[in-house]
Amino acid sequence: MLKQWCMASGYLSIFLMPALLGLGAWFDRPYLAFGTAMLLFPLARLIFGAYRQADTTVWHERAATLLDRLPALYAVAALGSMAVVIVRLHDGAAGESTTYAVGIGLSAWITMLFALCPAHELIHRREARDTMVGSFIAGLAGYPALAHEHLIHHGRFGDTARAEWPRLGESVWRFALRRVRRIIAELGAVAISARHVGPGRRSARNICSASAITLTTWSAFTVAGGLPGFLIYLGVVIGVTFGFQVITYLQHWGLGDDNVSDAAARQLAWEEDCQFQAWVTLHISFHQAHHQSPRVPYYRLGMADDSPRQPAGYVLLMLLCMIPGLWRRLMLPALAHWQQQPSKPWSSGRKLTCFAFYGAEGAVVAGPRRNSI
Amino acid sequence: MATPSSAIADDTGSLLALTSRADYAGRISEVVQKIPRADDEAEAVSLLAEAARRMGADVAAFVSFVRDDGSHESYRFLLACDPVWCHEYQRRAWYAHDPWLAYALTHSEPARASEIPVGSKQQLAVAELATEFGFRSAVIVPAPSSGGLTRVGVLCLGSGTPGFFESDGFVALKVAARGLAMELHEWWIGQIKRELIVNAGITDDDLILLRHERLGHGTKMIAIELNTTPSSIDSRFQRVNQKLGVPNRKAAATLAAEYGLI
Repeated sequence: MLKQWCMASGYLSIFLMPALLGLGAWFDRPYLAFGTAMLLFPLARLIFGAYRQADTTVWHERAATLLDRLPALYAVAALGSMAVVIVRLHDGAAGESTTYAVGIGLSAWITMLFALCPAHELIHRREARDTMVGSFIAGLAGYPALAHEHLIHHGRFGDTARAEWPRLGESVWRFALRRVRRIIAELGAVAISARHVGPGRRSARNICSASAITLTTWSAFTVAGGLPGFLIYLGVVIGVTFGFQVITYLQHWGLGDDNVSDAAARQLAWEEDCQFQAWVTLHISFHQAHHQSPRVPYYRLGMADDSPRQPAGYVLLMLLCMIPGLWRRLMLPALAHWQQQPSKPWSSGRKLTCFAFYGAEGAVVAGPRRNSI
Repeated sequence: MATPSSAIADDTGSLLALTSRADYAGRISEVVQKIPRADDEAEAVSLLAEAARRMGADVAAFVSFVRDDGSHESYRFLLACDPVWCHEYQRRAWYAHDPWLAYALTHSEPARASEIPVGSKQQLAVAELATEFGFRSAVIVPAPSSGGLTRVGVLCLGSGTPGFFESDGFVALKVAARGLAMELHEWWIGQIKRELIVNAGITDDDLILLRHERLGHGTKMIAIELNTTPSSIDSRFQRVNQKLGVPNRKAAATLAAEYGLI
């Protein structure tokens, strides 16, 4: 039982970002959360290693129940951290120092981007209460459309035409723009669904509530911090919205119906086996397995046996994909390797950089070790 | 899986002429009675197609789904019509805007599509797509569930002849269509139950355990009843929870009850 509690404690790392945001805002270290995520998270594999499929645990009921409640508890932490930021804005911290305003904006952005992980976990649950809390977190993070667009994303496997999966030759910029446009166009219809009895009424109402939370948070930032507060939260909304499309790009690039003939049937996605990343994202990085079993809660979700494996973690790939040439140079060989040997996925290994380097033929030439599964 | 609409309809004439035949109900009942014994979806679809043909419909579809399922994962279809319709419908994720499904969520009485109000532009688009695929005149037959089940079924019968179901004879068709809808609904529930048992690997012993939990029995009491130790009962519950993807025995028993396993 003690061993299980130790294993479960890894998931407490979801509280790290809101804690760092709150502490950074309070003690005038505005870059604390942003810096930690950008500089230290990519190195976490060195300490915590890779997830092993054999680690899939038959949880004791008490541990499983607590893990099940963790994403909902996160809502309190996220709200608390944003409240601290608002209080500090009210004290005039952002008005007095541009450095503080930029730093706290970046920290709030990255914290809220990570907040979409518990929100995502909750919107997949059966219970109405859970989906409501998930929508609340998404609204606080400035991305109220999450519950609508993500659940639809799960129904349109491999669809590159509707920007659910990115096209092979498409840059992250173009994909994000295409996807955001489509989501905005669909949101009008969602508002109508909220007024009519029908199968989509509950989720439509959750999205309306999430939008109200976003507007309330934005108002609070504006009232507390004036123009700087207004701009900080505007930056968070834009950054989180764009960031979520970037993550979708990382998860599905090259695996859509323009490149894989049976993409619509296979629900393909890139996976990454860094243990710390699995904890802090609540197993979103086991993305193909998640698509194949979206109702399975994170603590019971392992990796798919035949998924393509990313050569690095999300944080590094997020930065790299901004430069399309670099992205293609890194990812095309990884894609080729998976297409040649789908049943032999490669882990990026316990390396300093977390990178696996693939040769031109798709063979790993440096860096990784074989995944243990 | 689909049966082209032209192949289904061989009975010509009006709905009234068809339903006035002495053997109308008997011929439909003959097919409906076979539904509980259908081994797979293909067989269920062919029975749906045959029953629809005998009712006078050109095309038919049956959809089964869980109320308030925003993820649309619970939707199951039996299609005796052009599957492109369903494919388009799913690609556009139109579930939330479907006026027929909305009707079935709040009513138990069969209705003609022309009697169901179409409120928004999206609902109109859904109805137009159905028209395009052979549902020029349509009947919507809800199949509600009772008890703890949240799954709802909807049978859609369509005709390529405009106004076909609006003519006399609808009452006789309504009676027969209700029977068909309820049998298909029961069949889907049974099928989903079987899938859950097979996919999750649920055994009879697991179901006994879940029944005890549903009755509110504690670990010690279950252990005495099953002549084993409390720690063994706890371990068994942990494995059942793992199989069903739920955190604890209460959630496992609730899920099992919702799927009609216990």
